Amino acid sequence: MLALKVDSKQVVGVTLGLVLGLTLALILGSISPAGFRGILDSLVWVYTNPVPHVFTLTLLSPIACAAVGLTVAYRAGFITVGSEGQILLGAIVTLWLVEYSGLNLNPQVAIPISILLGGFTGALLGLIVGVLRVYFNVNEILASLMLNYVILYVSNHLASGPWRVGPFAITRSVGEEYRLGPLVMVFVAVVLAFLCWFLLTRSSLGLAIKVYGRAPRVAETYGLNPKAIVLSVALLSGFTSGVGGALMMLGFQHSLSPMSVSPGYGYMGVLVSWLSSNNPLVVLPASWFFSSILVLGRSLQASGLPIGYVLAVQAVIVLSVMIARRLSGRWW
Amino acid sequence: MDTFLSIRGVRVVYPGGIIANDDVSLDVRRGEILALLGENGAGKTTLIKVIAGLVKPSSGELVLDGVRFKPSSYRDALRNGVYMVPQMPRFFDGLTVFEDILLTLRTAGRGISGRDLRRKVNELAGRLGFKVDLDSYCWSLSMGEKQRVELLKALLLDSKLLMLDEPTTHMASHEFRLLREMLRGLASEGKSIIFVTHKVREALDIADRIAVMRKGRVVGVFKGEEVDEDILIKYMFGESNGPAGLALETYKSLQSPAGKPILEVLDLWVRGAYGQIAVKGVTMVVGRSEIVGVAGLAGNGQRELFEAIIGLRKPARGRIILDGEDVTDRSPAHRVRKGLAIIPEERLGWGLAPGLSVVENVAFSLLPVNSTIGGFLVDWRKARGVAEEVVAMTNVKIPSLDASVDSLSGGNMQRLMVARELYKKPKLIIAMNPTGGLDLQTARLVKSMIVASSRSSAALIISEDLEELLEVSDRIYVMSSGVVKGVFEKPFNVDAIARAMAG
Repeated sequence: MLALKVDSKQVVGVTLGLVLGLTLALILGSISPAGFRGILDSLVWVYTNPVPHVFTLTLLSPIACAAVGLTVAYRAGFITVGSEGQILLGAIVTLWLVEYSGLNLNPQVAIPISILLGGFTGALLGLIVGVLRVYFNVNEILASLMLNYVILYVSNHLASGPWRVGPFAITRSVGEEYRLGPLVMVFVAVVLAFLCWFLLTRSSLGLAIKVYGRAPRVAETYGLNPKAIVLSVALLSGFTSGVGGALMMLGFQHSLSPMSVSPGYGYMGVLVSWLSSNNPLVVLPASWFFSSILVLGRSLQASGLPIGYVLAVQAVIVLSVMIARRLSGRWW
Repeated sequence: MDTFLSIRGVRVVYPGGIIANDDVSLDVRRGEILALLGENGAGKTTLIKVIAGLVKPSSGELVLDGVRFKPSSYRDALRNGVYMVPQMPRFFDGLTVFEDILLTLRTAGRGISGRDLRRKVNELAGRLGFKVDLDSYCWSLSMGEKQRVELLKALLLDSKLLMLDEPTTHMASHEFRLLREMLRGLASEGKSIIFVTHKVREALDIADRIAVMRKGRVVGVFKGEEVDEDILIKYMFGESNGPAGLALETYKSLQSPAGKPILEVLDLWVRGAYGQIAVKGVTMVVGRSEIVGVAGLAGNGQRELFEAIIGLRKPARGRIILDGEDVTDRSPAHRVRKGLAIIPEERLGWGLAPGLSVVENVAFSLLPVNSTIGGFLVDWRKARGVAEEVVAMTNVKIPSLDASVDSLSGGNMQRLMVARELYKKPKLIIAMNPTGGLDLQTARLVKSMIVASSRSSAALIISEDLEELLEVSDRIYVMSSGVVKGVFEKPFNVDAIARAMAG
């Protein structure tokens, strides 16, 4: 009844993919200044020491929030990559609310409002892409990618212009009283994951989304509404990414500057969604894994390894898993 | 004239057990035009694909020019002088004609310099009596021009055997005459030509000999001058002995006489996928508890008609009235809610959603019309109950409601899809080739399900299978080239229907 079940072949495929990906990563790393030994040490540290676990949980939520919404969008065949821009927009409006709006809300009010506001502005951004796709037949990949750049430059402009404080291009920081700990952030991501899972498995809309994603012609023939399906997944995926952006700002980013913008949490969400077979519940462990690799990368940076290495490792793992899954006979 | 190609006992079985060629033996002589005539699904294309190395026969052999010929691939056949022009010649749209020709020659292992090619093309085109602009892009060519370029390629490759699959499908009549002259010229130079067609007149017009195929077999070979249209039509469609299914007759006798119209199609014009006008002023009526058949060879506008009625294709002109309401401009969703049951010709990907389970495939289609299985949320417990009832209607054991529909056999998919649609208690059933590719038993069940259900509703069945329509219909419209060529009431005059079908 639920398309969200795990079959053993798939588990084998994913495991193989992870092993292959990590092996390739170690080989890649061993020709770097850190050397094989350096990588191995960092690996052990990341997964055994409690300190990096806190970092991992902190970085997890924007990735997970973006990814859970994307699972729904991808099941409808709506291949947006707009989560990057939506996260950033969510972060911008959150910073505006707590530092630049002049409202001076108390934290109990400001935190939930900024999370919702981040979600709604992200949804609005998603809606633009959805409308372009539905009414103007514009490819959603291109439209969402371009919008990511628009938001990036808006953020850079704010940081170096109107919101600048001091001599450097950086904005004010989120006040201490508004900052969030990792547990609250993870909790929000878990709630969103369960909501998306519920939508996909229990609601009529979820069923329509799956039918349309598998065979648009079937959906259209039997009276499901393709426009409504695409617009709702565009809104939903924008919403969860926007929430992720608010969490990012309140949780660890705290300010905007052209230097410190997201290292691609939105794009990681895209990878995590595919890695999880577009299953919102599998997204949670998968984003934990991605986040841990990110922390691993930060520790390796100390040994002289560029951050690009981390991104390469993530890509290698996702590709290996997707290939392994294909070879084991299932796409998702 | 001596034999150039000899086909001996070729048998082709497609996956799913469909026998496309059944012990076909045929000789093709040097320097002749042989027409391969038959209705859709008679096995003509499969036979020439065997010769072109695209399909491997499960038994039988080919002898080409006295030597045993077993093409391992299309390229292999090309190198042995066999050239096939498919029904829709495929070109690389982004290349120029010159580049495309060069590519084909290289594929066949013919190295030729660009300058030589230009010289040769101009020489050949002059001989065939047409001009070709080598530097125009392939996408700009009409179908007729593409056919001509294909002929050029065949000549450049020195092909001894040329096979054309329904070359006139997208051709104007003056283009056909041009083609005929060219083919005659080629035959007189000693080349053998196989001309595949379903149009009787075309075959008579062009061929030295005509081989008629029906249901995978060659049922007769005639000299062009010794045969006439009537004989060929008889061989194409077989001698019909009238309706066969006795069980169905009892269903029919229970039916009440036709009541008020459920579906009215008024002067409908519809454009096809290439912008051509595919349906030209069709008018038809389906009354309550009536079964109306639409006969015709495939590609004569039936698919466009079907898509227009269910709302997937916007008509250019005309009205569609469903149960008294003009639905011409209404969405497919509205028509479904008004009580339309839709049985499209493709199961997976049009009737059923691949990758989803049996119960999901039942639920999504019933949700808009059956509020008991859910509103905003799906009541999966009730949905499973309904799915069980639907599965029970199919008369087969479907292993699990949670199994993906992909795992069902073609016959079981069809049973499931038909049962689901009829479970809706529709006002109108619209079906396209509902028994296409099914085994006898499943075909019978599907037919009797539709007939039984149409007692309390109405049915429009568009089918390529004339015998099936003769068996179940109260009235038959015959479509050819997008036009209704005739309306036939019971008792049916089979000869007249076949003649109308052949255009």
